[in-house]
Amino acid sequence: MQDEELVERCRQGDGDAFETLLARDQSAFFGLAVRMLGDRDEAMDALQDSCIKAWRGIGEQRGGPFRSWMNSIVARTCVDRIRARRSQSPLEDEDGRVIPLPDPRPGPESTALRRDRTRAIERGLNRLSADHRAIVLMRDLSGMSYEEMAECLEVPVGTVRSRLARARGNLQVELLRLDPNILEAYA
Amino acid sequence: MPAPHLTDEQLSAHLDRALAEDESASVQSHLEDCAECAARRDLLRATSQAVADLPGEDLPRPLDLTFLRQAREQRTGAAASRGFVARVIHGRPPVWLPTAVAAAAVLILAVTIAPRFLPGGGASRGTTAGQEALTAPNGATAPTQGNGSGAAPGLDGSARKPNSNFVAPRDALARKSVTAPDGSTVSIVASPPEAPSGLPTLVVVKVVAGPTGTALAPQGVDLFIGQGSRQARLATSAGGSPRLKPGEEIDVSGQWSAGALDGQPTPGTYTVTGRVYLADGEVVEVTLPYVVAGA
Repeated sequence: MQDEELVERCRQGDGDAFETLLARDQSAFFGLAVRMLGDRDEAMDALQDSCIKAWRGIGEQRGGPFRSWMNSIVARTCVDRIRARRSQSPLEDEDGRVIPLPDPRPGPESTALRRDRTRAIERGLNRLSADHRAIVLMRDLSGMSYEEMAECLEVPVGTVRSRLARARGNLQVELLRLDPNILEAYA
Repeated sequence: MPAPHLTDEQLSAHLDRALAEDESASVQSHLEDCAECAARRDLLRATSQAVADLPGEDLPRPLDLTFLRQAREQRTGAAASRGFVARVIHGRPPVWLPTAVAAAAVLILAVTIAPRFLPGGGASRGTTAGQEALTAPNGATAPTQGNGSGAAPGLDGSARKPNSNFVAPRDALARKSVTAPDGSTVSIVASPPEAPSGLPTLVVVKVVAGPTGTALAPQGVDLFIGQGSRQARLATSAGGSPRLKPGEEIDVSGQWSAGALDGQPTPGTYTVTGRVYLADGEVVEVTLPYVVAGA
């Protein structure tokens, strides 16, 4: 069943349709949250919040893929949580060591090489400030537009553009520092 | 003189097709002639793609979608209220360890026994009999015993001044009721229905005795706030064994600094739980998710 039909059912109060939509992409939503927040428990709470917001706001969904719309809700929820922390620091412990994100679990198609690359990308993301990590994930993992990010972050579009460029540049530096050849796989 | 190289910002926005038409054409033209900028563009594109290719993550536990139960109940014609979950537990529930409540959460407790409370869906001002400010020392608040009007045995009759903070607009409540095995009704009410973090929020648990009256166990009525594995008891009427006449009501209420559990108020979804211990050993519990938005 297409997203549009399921969303319409949700608008009529069909909770099963909402569950179906969530189930299709919940691992992607959780992946976004856990990488933005760096904590699986908090990410789970954020996703839980997002589900309630999405259900209550389903009437505002104006077509397009449910996944994109839900991604923006998850990202906004995570940004709110990051703001609440009032911290712009990388995810480091008191000794300055970067707190690792959980190891991704290999799917059937995953290889050890892919797993290693994923770990390296996540380590690179973890070395960014919370602001930079968030904006990179919002754009490149979640696919939000500049306008959506500007609204979410409460900054002008020009700031989104410059911040995203700096964040991508910093991530590139960190990734190449971790492995000079890592980006060849994505070229 | 050769044209200056493109900035990182131009390259990044070009990748996202976020440049104005004229600037985009200019950037594209430069990229066709400048191998160095083209190489930078390719590296930036690979960086972006590396993030885009990150796989999803398995959830550590299933999502709690019980809030959808309301929708299902409505679709099947059953009575339901907005956003709530209610259940009846038979037998004793697991013990909840009362945890410290943050100093930020200034709690006020009231336990009332009255012929009527929340008439027609709204809270009533006049019947509130007791209140007790519970500002926690050193960030901790011990479980609190409630006091009542003396209209029922087991609760002392100490007179206290009325608390007008407990009056909530009739249209700004979130509520849910569940019928206990003995015919009594247990309701939980929160006002406002959702709140920005730190906003004083009224939470009330109300028991309306069944047609043959309702006897409470000494544990009485508990009111909890929780999130995940963290729980805090906001108020309790423990300490007596009141017996309510048919239709008589008892309520336990607390004022919560929305989002405060064991630190500063934090946005998120919390669970407000009312638990009623009946004399026959049954425990009736009503829970509702409560969304605390950013301040």
